[in-house]
Amino acid sequence: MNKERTTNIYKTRFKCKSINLSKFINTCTQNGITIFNLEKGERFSTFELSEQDSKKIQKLDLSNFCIEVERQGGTQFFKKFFLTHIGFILGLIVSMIALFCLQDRILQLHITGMSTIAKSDIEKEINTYGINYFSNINFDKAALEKYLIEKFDFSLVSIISKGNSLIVNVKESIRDIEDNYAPITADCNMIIKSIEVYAGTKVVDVGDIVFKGDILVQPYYKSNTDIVYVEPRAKIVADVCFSRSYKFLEKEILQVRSGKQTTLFKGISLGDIPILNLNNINPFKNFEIEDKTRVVANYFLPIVEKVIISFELVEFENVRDFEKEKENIISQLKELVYRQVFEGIQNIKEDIVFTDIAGGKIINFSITGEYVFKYM
Amino acid sequence: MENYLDEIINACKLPFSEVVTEFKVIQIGNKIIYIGNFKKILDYSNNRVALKTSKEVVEIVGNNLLISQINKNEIIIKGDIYSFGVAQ
Repeated sequence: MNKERTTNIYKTRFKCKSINLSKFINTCTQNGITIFNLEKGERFSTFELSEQDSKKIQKLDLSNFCIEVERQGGTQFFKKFFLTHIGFILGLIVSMIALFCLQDRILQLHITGMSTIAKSDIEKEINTYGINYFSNINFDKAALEKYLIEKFDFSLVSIISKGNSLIVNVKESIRDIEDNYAPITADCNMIIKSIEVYAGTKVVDVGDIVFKGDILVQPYYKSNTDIVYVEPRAKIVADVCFSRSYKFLEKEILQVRSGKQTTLFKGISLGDIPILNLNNINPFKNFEIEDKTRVVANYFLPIVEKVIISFELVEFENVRDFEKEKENIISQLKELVYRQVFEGIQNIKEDIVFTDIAGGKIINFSITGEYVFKYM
Repeated sequence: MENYLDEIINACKLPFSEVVTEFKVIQIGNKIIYIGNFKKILDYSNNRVALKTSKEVVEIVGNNLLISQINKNEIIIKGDIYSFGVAQ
């Protein structure tokens, strides 16, 4: 007999092997017992009683009926459940307590940024200050930063907490190089005309071509055995040069947009996960691509829309007249060059050089002048 | 006596369904039937349930009959109910 049986854990299920079921039912009901889900089977019948009625039925004289408990319900059911799952329940309780107690405790310590000082030394000092594993993570971090700076002569200490980790980022001070003397370097490209060194050792001579950044005077005197560091002082007179050039072509092939465009790709992604992608074949032979990315929404993960558009390009030959454009080109070059020139340059001479090449010319505009560099 | 009782019920405007001594039947479709104010159960099997009321015998015939709940004078029967009859 297949019937729907709803398992009710609050009721105790009994099994009855009595022939005269009707008499049993009447006996129970006359004694105030309510029977639930009475099913008659081939060999036995099953029924359910509430916890109170389960105790009542045991007090009745039902010796003529063979009744036994099939499944306990009510408090007995829960008692059995807890006893059989005691390990799991205890483990759950212990882990919840541990989670609650350790939420504000330091479980990991990360120290980064050191190069000469050992990590263990810094850790030892932190422990001396009073911060250890399992200490409270909500302490005055600014005070510890100040303590570490004074102790180790750091230039920067940053302490942050992330979860149960304490992250200490340090930056060691840069050691002075013998009272911090720096060499004299070239400020721009130049040709040395004269050099007078009052302190230090010169590394260039008259007539040398030097480029921007090259060392001119070293900040030390070197003897056979000793190196004595000094602040370098010198006076250098040099010819400075600034130039710019432009390549002019009589015929040039230009590519401009024809006006036609097509969408090659349209996609929406959630963070790094692509959700929707639409691809198209590019129908153009010559094309230019434009990529547009737009953040549609940014809550837990950003929703990003990406569109790639292809624009058709058409080529056409542009014939240029040098004489018409010459003045314009020279004035632009002049403006660019004069932006580099600094104050104090004397005897400025401008020079324009035209060099013929296949199909056009190269125009070079340069300025030369004399400048006195005083490093005192 | 019964007429006297009916007159009292009408005079006091008591709810009829709660104070009668005859059996009550509520049937929902042919799946569930509730019978109240019966005296005892005479027969119960998967195909037939017979109940004794104050004057009559109520018989429910069907298939896969299951007593969902039964107490002193109320019974709820579930299953495929084919017929419900009353005999004197």
